[in-house]
Amino acid sequence: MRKINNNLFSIDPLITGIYIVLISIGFITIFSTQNKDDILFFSFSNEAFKQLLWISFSILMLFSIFFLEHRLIYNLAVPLYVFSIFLLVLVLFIGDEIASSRSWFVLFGFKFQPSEFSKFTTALFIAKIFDSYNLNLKSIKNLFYISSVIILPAFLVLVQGDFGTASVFSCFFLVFIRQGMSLKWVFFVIGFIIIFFLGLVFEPNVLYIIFSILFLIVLGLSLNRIKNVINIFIIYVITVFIINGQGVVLNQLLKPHQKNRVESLINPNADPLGTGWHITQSKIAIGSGGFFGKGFLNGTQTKLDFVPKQSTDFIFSVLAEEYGFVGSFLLIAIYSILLIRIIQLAENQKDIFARIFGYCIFSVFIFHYTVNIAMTLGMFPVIGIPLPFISYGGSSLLSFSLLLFMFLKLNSVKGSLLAR
Amino acid sequence: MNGDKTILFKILVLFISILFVLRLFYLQVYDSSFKKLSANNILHIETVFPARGIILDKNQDIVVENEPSYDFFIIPNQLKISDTISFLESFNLSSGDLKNIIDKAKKYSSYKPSIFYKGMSHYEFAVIQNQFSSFEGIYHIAKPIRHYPSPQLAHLLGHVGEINFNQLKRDTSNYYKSGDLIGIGGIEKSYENVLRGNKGYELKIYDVKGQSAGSYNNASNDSLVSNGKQLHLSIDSELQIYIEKLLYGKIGSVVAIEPSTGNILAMASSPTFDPNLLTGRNYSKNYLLLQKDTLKPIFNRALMATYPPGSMFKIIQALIGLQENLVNSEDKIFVDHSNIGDLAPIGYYDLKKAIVKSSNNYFFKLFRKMINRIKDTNTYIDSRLGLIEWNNYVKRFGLGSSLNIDMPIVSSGFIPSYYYYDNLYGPNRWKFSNIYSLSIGQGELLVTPLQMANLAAIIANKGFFYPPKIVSKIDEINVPIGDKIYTAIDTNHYNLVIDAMEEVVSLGSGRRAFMNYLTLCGKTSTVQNPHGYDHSGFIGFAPKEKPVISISAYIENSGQGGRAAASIASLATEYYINKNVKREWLEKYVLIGDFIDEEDK
Repeated sequence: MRKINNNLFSIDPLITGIYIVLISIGFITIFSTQNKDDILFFSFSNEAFKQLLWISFSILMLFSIFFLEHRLIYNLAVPLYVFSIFLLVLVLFIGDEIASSRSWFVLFGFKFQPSEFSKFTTALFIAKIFDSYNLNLKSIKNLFYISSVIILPAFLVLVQGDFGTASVFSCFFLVFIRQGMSLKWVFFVIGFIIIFFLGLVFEPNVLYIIFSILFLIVLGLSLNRIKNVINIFIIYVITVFIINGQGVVLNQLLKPHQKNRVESLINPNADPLGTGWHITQSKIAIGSGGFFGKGFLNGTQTKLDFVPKQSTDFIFSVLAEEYGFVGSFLLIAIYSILLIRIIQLAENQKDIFARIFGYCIFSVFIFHYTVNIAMTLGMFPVIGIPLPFISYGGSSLLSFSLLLFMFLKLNSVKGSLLAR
Repeated sequence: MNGDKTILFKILVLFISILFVLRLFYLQVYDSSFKKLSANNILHIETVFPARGIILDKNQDIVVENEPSYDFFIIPNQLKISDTISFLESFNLSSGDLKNIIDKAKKYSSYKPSIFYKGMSHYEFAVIQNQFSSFEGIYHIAKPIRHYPSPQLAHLLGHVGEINFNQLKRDTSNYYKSGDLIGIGGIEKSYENVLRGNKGYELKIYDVKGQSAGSYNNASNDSLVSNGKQLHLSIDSELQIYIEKLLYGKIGSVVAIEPSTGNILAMASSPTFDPNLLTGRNYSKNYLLLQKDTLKPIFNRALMATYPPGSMFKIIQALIGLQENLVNSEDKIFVDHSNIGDLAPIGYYDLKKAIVKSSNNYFFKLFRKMINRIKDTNTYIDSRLGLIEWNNYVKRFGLGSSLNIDMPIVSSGFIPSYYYYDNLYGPNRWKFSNIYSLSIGQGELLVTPLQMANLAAIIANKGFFYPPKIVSKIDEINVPIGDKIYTAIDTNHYNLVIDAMEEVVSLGSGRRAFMNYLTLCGKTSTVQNPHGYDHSGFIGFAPKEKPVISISAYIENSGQGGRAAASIASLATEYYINKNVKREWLEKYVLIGDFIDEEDK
């Protein structure tokens, strides 16, 4: 029997330290949002108190992970993925609908969201696949196979009505880039997204003319190779489809509130008391924080409820209001260190499973970090996803903690992994 | 392997983070507008309205006080009406109205109160108050409005109403906001700055639902409200109410002044109205009705109506004659009816008899002496010089002047000067024969009832008056009595006219005003009126020794001065001095008010 390193001190101290700092910041900020006259601290209507329970529970989980046989992580990857898909289907039938999304199980007053859990199982499953098969992502067929692993849970979450969480699954494409997926796909997708947003600003006819001229120029330059001509033609057709379908997507595929969120990003002043409200109030909260902030419990935008969803999606606004530019800068710095540290650790893994898993959690974190903060700063449409470790929410805290510490566990035993 | 991609990911992280930091720098440090926006979000300036000063009379009785009136608000998202029918009845609404109200309120805000019913009286409120427990989301605030416990003095007091656009534009102090109340007319207007007090401002914090969350900065930025001051009038309400009762059904006015101070004791104009009509919910409707009334009840005749003085002006003429030595108490002249229409018999007259009998021809001759002093051989120039001198005398009696009374709109009357006639006839184209009507107080002369009461006070004081005023105390601070204003007539000359005026009442045209227990000195006027029956006029003061009240009365279209005006003035004088009236027959005569007999028709 090999000696398994279960020494707690072998885990990465930097990430552990950052983790403790982040959940502390999260708790203090949630406490701030709950500092209202009619909410007692020691009650189940106080989210800060509940978060404290969740934090304790998470830490308990973390300890148990460290005493876990690490091979269990490999072996559980497939069953957990299957189980999470089962839960995603189940929640469609017996779940509770909260805020127009049927994505919650409610047990004894505690709410649990299987979609949060499935992010974590999908990450494990992807790692397992790359570990088991030597996939060459230059092949479109392989890319299609591996994409379906992501698209299945994403689709189920979308069916629940939770666009925000579903969009998170797209982050795993970052892993594929790491694994050799051509960047051209990324540029295509980004290009098409830009075209989509251009459609909000310009008339379709203007766009048709612009892109038709562009198409003719590029076509003229690449007539020497027939393959290029075909590719450019395909891109052109897709572009026309997007310009044409933009209205259909906005008006029929997206729910009205989602459509408004997209539109109010372009012009938040169009309806400042309606759809632009969240963005406007969030920006006012952040902007009014100034350089040093208004101070702990002194955020008026927060205290008087002008900041929407202040303990969850817009918690960054609360932090920025109370601790100002200094506080926000520090949080961003801490997050940047965390993300870069995860890349370093992942890259150092000798085991494919651990490395891919590391990139998976990097992808999940950077996606949440970017989309959530960009949204509060008015740089991105309002998509309801939490800021990891800061936002209130048991399911998300638990699943983010599990992701992070499973990776740290794998990292701590990397010397012995090769002998698996 | 793939080291280049590691760098790519790290750059991605740094790129996003730097983007965030730049954006945060822009929002939090560079753009300072958000601090203001955040303050705008939560801070609301709330106005605390001062209580308007109450108004008391000479005897400390309340004339004007404040009474709550109620405005009602609706907060749509709290609205729950268990008994819709009783709700609609309470506010006198139809179900369609209710729907409109709710829709309108929702358009404004579901959380914030919208006003839907203004100015419910205290009485109506008391009736429906017990039903409020069944209406949720309906709130009220009490707003003070004026209340007049004993309706009187409508003209003198003026009223209070919402400030209009023009007044707002003229307000250079920037004190008023649209919807504020302001004094309109009368004392309410002229003492607006004293009565209104000063608004206070409080900074209040509001949460996102528009619910108050307390004071900002421990209320240290708030400015305190200061309530309006109390006004003490010189008016004797009991006398005022008595006079208003006597004037009921007649058109005219009575002004009473305390000669020793210039304090106005009563100032009545008829027809009048209940000042309570111009408070609360029905203000606009009632104001319009009063405005449309052909008898002009809003018009304050005591200050704004002008009439020729008529025979009472002969007193001034007599005094000028004495002062200028054109006549003395002994002189007797023969008077016939050759110059001007006259009711006094033909015969020998001295000055006193001429006043008592009100001889028109006597004063025609006296006035001719004043105007034609043979200072110039040209009769036109001579007349002009005479008129200038006469005009100077007359103006010293306070005629042609507003008397600086503390009321907003006052007529000054008219004393014709040489340039008036120069304009009318051309320079040096007029002489005594053009202006002789002035001799008996007719012609172009116009005076106000206030000026005539003041004239009575001048005679009572034997040659001076104090500027008449209505407010004697502001809070506990006395308004000083104005400086004595002297006429150009020596004091000793007044004794003759006072004796004559005593005789007017005891033997002459003012006999109805006679009391054997109180010496009233007076003079009647029967003012010729081209539009109908003559106006009845009277001035007087009492008692003869140490007078305490001087009074003028003008009753329009009531014939001889010795009837309506003398009777009313006499009754008022008796009531003021003796606190009761013994002459029930005279009171009855006045209340019936049938003053015109066959010979007037």
